[in-house]
Amino acid sequence: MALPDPIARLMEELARLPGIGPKSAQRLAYHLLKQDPESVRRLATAMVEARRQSRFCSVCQDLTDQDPCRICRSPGRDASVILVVEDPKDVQAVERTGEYRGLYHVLHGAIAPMDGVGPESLRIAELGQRLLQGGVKELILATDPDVEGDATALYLARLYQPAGVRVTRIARGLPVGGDLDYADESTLVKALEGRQEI
Amino acid sequence: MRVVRIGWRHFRNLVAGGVELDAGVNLIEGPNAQGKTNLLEAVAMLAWGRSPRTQHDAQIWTAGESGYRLDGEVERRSGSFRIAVEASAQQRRRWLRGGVARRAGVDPLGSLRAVLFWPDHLELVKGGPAVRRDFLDEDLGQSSPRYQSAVRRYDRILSSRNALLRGGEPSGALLDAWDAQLAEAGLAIRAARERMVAAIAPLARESYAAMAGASPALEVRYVSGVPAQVSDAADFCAALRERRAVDLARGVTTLGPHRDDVALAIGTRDARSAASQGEQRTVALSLKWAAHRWLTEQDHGETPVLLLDDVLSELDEGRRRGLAQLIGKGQVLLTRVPNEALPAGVPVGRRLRVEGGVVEVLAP
Repeated sequence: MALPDPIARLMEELARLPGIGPKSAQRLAYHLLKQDPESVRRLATAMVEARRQSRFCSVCQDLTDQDPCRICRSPGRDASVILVVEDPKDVQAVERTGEYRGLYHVLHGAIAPMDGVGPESLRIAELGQRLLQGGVKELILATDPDVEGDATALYLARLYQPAGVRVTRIARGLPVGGDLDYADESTLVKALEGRQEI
Repeated sequence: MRVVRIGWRHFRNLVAGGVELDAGVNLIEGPNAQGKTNLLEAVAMLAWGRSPRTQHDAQIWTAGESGYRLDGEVERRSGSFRIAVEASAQQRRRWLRGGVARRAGVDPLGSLRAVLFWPDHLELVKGGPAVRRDFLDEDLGQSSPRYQSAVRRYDRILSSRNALLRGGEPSGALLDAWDAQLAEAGLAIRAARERMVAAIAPLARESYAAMAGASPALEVRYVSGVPAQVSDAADFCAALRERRAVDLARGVTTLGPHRDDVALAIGTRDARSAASQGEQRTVALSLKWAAHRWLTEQDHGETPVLLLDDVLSELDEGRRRGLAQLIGKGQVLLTRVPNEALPAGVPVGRRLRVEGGVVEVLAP
């Protein structure tokens, strides 16, 4: 039995979202159809408005509704430190700590030759511009600790170390509150290598 | 260590069932193409999380079905645990311990180790270097999760670097970034392989001598794809920079452990070019025998499960003796077609009969 066209189209669109397979798309679609029209309209409006009002910050390239973004405009932030991340959600992760007072730069990905992603596909030129404008003393590289993230960090270090900027890489090691025997081998090895005097 | 019980569903021609295994020698009998090898493959998959025959799971589940599952109960000195492997048209293959999906082999105390020897392994001597690298990675490497993760990481870095070499004109800084990573992973692999080959060389020599009698000794030597003068990451990167023009022209990385080999010689004769059929068999068996002993040492005396498929044909007196010695230790699954003779002194713990995908335990 064929589904009515509008429902089939809704499922198709939902199934395009990351992490949503055909089964989940079906469940979400039927859930939406059971809601009252007003709450569905609120959801649709939220999606359309979020999309319409967001753009990339011209300074840090993070998603924002005003340009420059709140963090880049904040007088309370230390503009001499830039923390470089792959994704906007990484900015949120670091912000949740409440400990970091510097600025950010979002690359929107990592260098991945196997997927055809080179430096020119990332927001690296924009980072170079910010450094040229001066005033930056430290670049903290916080790309993911995988092969692509490490390569991106090494590449950026090679680009900017000669310019006299202090370039650091965030440490890797054991999660706080975790059990030592649950840590995977390579994390343990890195944690051992990065051990410190107490 | 041993597999106490193994169960299967829609695994090749084994439709649904299970069997208890003996802690010693399990003799698996039956005519050809009835499912004997599938039973060995099933145990290997529980150990490694992947098939020694194929990477395509759709070839594994029974024709007309859309998935398979294997279950095993493993007993080690430190305790018992359940492991499973499953895959289906909707779900990629995964390895589970206690019902939780994990990477196979990472936790030494929660893993099954196995050494497989079957006719394909005669290629260990005459085949290309890749066969011998597989021996290092798959047989010896299973003792070290750290080594295996270095190999996985290296493979990914290498593929990325090669993609970069082929993708036009990468900048020097970009290649430098990949070279630095390749060097770090590459040196870890070289150190581990050096150590593993040095450890198994005397064991293989001893085993070969026991089987081949008065023949010249078997020499096993690691041949690194990294130039000998490279001693640290800076050297490695310098060597890569020297080869950069060549690498760019060919679109591949021409230096590194992906070009390693293991040299095998009988006395001064290169076994690859000069060994007879019989000598090849003896050398291959010696390497597996050495791997089995070394893994046992690494695992503080716990023997890996030994899977022997179709090894009883074409045995001369020496290899018959060698096999009997190997079989004397730990759990063994050994296939045989009807009427093949067993080496003298092999104590059979349990006889299983496989016919048309049905496994039954025979009266002792």
